[in-house]
Amino acid sequence: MSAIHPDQSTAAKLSGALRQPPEPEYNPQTGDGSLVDDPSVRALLVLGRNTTFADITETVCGYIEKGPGRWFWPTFFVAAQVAGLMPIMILYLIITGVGVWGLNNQVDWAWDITNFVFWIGIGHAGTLISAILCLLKQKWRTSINRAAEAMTIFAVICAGTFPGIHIGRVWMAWMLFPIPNYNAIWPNFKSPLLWDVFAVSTYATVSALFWFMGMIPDFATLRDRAALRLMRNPDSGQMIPLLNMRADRVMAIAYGLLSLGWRFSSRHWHRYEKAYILLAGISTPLVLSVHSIVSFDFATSILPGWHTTIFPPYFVAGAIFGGFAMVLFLMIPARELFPGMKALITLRHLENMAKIILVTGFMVGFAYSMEFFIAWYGANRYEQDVFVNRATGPYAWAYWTMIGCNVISPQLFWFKFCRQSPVVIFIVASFVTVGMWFERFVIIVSSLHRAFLPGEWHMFYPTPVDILTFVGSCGTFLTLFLLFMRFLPMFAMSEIKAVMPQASPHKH
Amino acid sequence: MTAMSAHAHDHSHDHGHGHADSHGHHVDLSESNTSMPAGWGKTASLGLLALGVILSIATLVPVFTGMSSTAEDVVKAAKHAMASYHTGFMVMLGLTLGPLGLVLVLNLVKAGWAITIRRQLENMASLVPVAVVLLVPTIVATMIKPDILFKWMSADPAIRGDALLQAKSPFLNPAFFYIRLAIYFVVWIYLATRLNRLSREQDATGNKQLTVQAGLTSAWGILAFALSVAFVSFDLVKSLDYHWFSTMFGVYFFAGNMVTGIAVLVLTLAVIRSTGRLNGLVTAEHMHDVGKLMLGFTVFWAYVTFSQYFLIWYANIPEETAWYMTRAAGGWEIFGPVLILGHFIIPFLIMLWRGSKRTMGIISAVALLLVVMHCLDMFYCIRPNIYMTFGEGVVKGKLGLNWVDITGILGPVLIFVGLLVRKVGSGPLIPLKDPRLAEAIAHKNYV
Repeated sequence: MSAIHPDQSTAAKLSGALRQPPEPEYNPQTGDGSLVDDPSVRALLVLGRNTTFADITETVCGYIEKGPGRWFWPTFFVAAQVAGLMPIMILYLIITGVGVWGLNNQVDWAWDITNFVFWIGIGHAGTLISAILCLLKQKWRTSINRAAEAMTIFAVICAGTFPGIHIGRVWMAWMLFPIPNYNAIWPNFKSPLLWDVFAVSTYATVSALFWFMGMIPDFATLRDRAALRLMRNPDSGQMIPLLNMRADRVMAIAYGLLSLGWRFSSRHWHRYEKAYILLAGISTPLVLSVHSIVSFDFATSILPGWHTTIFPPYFVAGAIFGGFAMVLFLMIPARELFPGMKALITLRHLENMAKIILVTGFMVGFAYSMEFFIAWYGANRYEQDVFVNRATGPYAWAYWTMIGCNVISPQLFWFKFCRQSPVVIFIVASFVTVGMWFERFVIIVSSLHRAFLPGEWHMFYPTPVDILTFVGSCGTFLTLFLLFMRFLPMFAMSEIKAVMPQASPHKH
Repeated sequence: MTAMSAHAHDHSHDHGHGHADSHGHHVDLSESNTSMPAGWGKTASLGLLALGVILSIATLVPVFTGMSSTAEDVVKAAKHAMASYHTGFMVMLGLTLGPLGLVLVLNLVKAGWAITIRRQLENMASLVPVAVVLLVPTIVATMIKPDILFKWMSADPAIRGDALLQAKSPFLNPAFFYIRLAIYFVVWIYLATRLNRLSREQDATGNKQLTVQAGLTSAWGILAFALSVAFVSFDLVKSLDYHWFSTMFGVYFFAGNMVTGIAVLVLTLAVIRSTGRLNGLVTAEHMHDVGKLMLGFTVFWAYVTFSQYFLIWYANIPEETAWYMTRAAGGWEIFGPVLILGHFIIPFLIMLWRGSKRTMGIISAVALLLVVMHCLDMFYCIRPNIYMTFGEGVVKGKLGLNWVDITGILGPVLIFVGLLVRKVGSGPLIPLKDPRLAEAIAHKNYV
């Protein structure tokens, strides 16, 4: 593969002879070098022919040790301010009552449940990338899996909040769980809403385990690097004011605790890999089941527009669609802001994700058209009216926003230059994110606002509290993600190293 | 196509350097490893084909032997025979569509490991024109007696006057129905022929650009495929009960076809490997991954089937439950549990084990089970329409099992198998000069 033997280049690296930052050179034919069209050549997953394992460690740990740069704290400050809106709005809601929201007797699920389904959908890409793409041996997933998993956790946190505050008497939220009490009141086990509680909490638990377990070796690397720096020079590095300790000492202790005694022994690695593949196997049906159960919330009802059999796979496809859009929405700017990240997330990786967006966009498009067709074919007037109303009624603007963002905008990815341009991908990903929010809004509000009897018809208008709670949840999500980028390893170092050419030196 | 594969033989020899497998051993790419022996399977193919034709024709016997009884009995017998034959036809059609879908996907995702198994999928997909021929008896019978299979074509004023049917008539009318069928087959035949042609042309020329072209065709092809497969399931299966509807039905049909397509791929590879061909080209490593695909689609089928049933059961709206009600009485109630066990639980538990995917005997047995189960699944969708009725809250009817049900299903399926054997024997067993061939040969499952 490389002209220089990996061991030689590692030796050169250690002696300081070779110090090239892995910044890709631009080539009009192949972009950063990853856009090879030749079917007999597989693009490099990590750019730079002389990139060594040490470079990867240096780059990824560098994001934490050196800090992300000047942009970080101002951005964090703004995000945290926005995040602050969420607890304020929730507090206001609890103190005042659900009347501060725009929902009403007819449209009794609206903005809050839309947010719930939106966020839980976003959460699906992480586990999809780390579990399903792992089982399918899609090596390019190593570029984004850690960040996507983190995103999953944060999205599930945002998602879980909304049903919790939607129940009205928030202090009774514990009754969602089957806990025995004096009045012998049990939750209704026949209700999909209860299955949701189990599905989402299981998903949150398994995703968090998967995420954390994957980070253990990287935590150990960070611990050892900090400890080594301390050993070499105990007086170097920043003092952390309140703790009265050197930053390296804090890192050694914190990452040491998180790494759970990891010692990089072969036995550890062996168990780690077994656990990883088992978790991937368990998570795969889990990813599908979570959004299927969320879809049951609607589809088990007899409400026109909600009750249709394609809902489970349609919701799962939509979740992957929205989740990948969010990964792109976050990682394209990150690629620009963090040095050396372009070598890890190549243009080919972005192109692959753009293709997934196109495919899953078609899947949701297929479901939209199937719903419309069967509403007509089923010859049920109520069903037909709901769909005609979606496209032409008072919420038609929401419907057409959804179609424009989810079905039309990804069509740009038929063109190679669009799939290969980070700017275009970023724009489409933003559209898709907006479109997927509107999809849930359309399903929930447009079906509820005109049920069977005209006497029940009612409009839903969001109040400022509704809107600010959602904006706050976006801020929460972003704040948590920024903290992740600052303090946790953003890439799975060992997995990236395993897909580099040096990892299989006998392959030709 | 046959002419082109003849070319390929000449070129398979001059593959100078060859390729090394995962252990660094040289893999034999000569004709003695990558083609069946000359004349292989000729007799078997003819025998199967003849048997298939005889069984298909035999399905009609009760119609003629019953001529002495009342006209009503003859019609009943003809309807029964046609429904059984239609079941066999749908299985046969699925055996071309499932593999076609898989070829499209493999081309799109640039799968490296699957190169050495792709040719057999292309062979199966290339038989889609045969489905047109096998559809002719159904169309002829429908011309003679319109409601023989499709009740919505009936001239009976009671059915014509049905409000729901009238609402659907812009879609469910004979002219549009035949136009749609023609469109589906044009799309499938074009895709199957083109992808086969590109693949076989590459055997001769080794032109890498052909791989790129196959990818481009697959990109729009998958879209056309998804829509046509969904709608053909509406036209040829769902419309048999013209009141019933389900948005999931197309996905359900697709899932079943994928499972069976992969199962027949496994059986084909088992037969080829038993002759000692494809040594080092299709190994336990490849069977392992094919097994994973089969397992995955079995689970997907179960997921889709469960979701469809569950949502209809839970909401309990009569217009939807009617379909399942007529399949839970009169002897049909046994089919549900059999399908749950045989189409999901048993194959799932066996295929979960790593060893069963890598052992040709076990994986073939499971594949055979899945093919039988798919036949039962199609039977369960199609045949109850003959004897079962649901009205005024009462389900009436019977299973009415008859030897015709066996011949009707086996006929078209054996014709397919006979032609597949001929196809397998007629050319190279793998894409000889695919640019990703080396990757497939070196393929290995870690962990």
